[in-house]
Amino acid sequence: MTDHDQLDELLARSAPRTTTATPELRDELTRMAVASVAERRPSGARRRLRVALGAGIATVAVLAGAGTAAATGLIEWGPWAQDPDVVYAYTLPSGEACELRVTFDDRATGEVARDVVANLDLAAEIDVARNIAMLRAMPSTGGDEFGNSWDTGYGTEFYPGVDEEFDTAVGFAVTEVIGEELNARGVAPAAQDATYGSTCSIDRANDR
Amino acid sequence: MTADARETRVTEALAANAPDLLAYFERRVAHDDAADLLAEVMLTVWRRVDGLPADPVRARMWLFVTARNVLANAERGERRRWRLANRLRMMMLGSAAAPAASDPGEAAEVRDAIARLSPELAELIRLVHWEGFTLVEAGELMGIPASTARGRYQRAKQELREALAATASASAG
Repeated sequence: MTDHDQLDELLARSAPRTTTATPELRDELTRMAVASVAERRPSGARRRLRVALGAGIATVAVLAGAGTAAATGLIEWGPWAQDPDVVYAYTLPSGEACELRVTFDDRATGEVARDVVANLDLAAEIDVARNIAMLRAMPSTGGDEFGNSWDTGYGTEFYPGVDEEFDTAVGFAVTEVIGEELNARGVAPAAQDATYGSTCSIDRANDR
Repeated sequence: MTADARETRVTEALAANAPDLLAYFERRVAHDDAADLLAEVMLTVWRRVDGLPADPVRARMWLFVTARNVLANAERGERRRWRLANRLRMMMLGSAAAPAASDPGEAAEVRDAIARLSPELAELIRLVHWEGFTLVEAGELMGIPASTARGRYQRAKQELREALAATASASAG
C-alpha cells in the first residue's frame, strides 16, 4: 500500500454506505425543507383529529412531573430524562412494559406541557392505531451504492416488527398530541424543541 | 429582500443540499440519528437565516459548517428527536440492510485506519475523499488556512500509507 492513486481509490471506496437518494427520499427532503420554516414560525392552533383507540391496544398510566419511577424500576435514563416534563407508560403488543419520556428545551414550555398532561387523559387522546396505519402506508425504499433499490415498506422483511412499529407509533402519537395542545395554548413552535425517547428494557436504555 | 423571497432562497438551499447533508451525517453517526441531525440543521438555519450567503456555492459551505457544529453538539450531548424528521426516519428504515460493498473487509480496514488518525486529520480525509470537497474547501469548513490543510493532508496520507502497509504485511504473514 504505497501507490498514491491506489490509496486515493481505497479512500474513496471506504466511504460508509448511505441511503440512496431515491425520488421518494428527495421529495421528503424537499418537504422537510419547506416544513422547517413553519416549525420556526408561530402559528395558530391546528385542528386535532380525535379518533378513539382501537380495542385491544394496551395503554396504561399517564404520569407527569419530576421524580417519576421508571416502569420497570431498573431503567437507566440519560441526564436529559432525569426530570422529564412528560412520562407516558405503555405496553407493547408482546406485553413488554415501556416508558416514553419527553423533556422540552424551554423550561416555560416544559411547565405548560406538565400542565397539559396533568389535565389530559393522554391515553385516551393519542391515536396509536392511526399512526400505525400512517406508518404502514408510508412509502419506504432502500438502496445501495450500485444503484439498486428495493421496497422496505410494510409487508417486506425490512419493515419493523410489531413491537417496534407500535413503539414508534406511540412516540409519534404522544408528541403529536402534546404539540397540538401546546399550539392550542399559544406556545410558539420555535419554543417546542424537545428530546424524547422510549425504553422497554435495561439494554435499550443503556444504548442511548 | 422580502420575507417571502428570503424563505424561498433558504428553502431552495436546504432542499438542494439536503441529500449531501444527510449523507454527511450518515457517514458519521448511527443510521437512525442522521435524519434528526439533518432536521436540526434545517431548524438551526432559520434561527441564523441572515447569515446564509446568497451565492449557492457559499451557501453550501455555510450549511456544511452548520452541520459540523450540529454534529459537534450532538457528540457532546444527548440524542434528540425532531418531529420534522419523523417521516424521513421511517423512510430510512431498512436501508441499513442493503447489500454490502464489493469488498467490505477492505473498506472496513481503511475506515479503521482513518479512525486511528488524530481527529483533525481523520476529518480532513473524510471531507476530501468521502464528501468530495477540495482541500481548500475542507480547510475552510474546519476553520484552518489552506496551507495548514495541505500540510495536514500530506501527513494524514503518509500515516495512512504506513498503517495500511502494516495491515497488509500482517495479513500476508
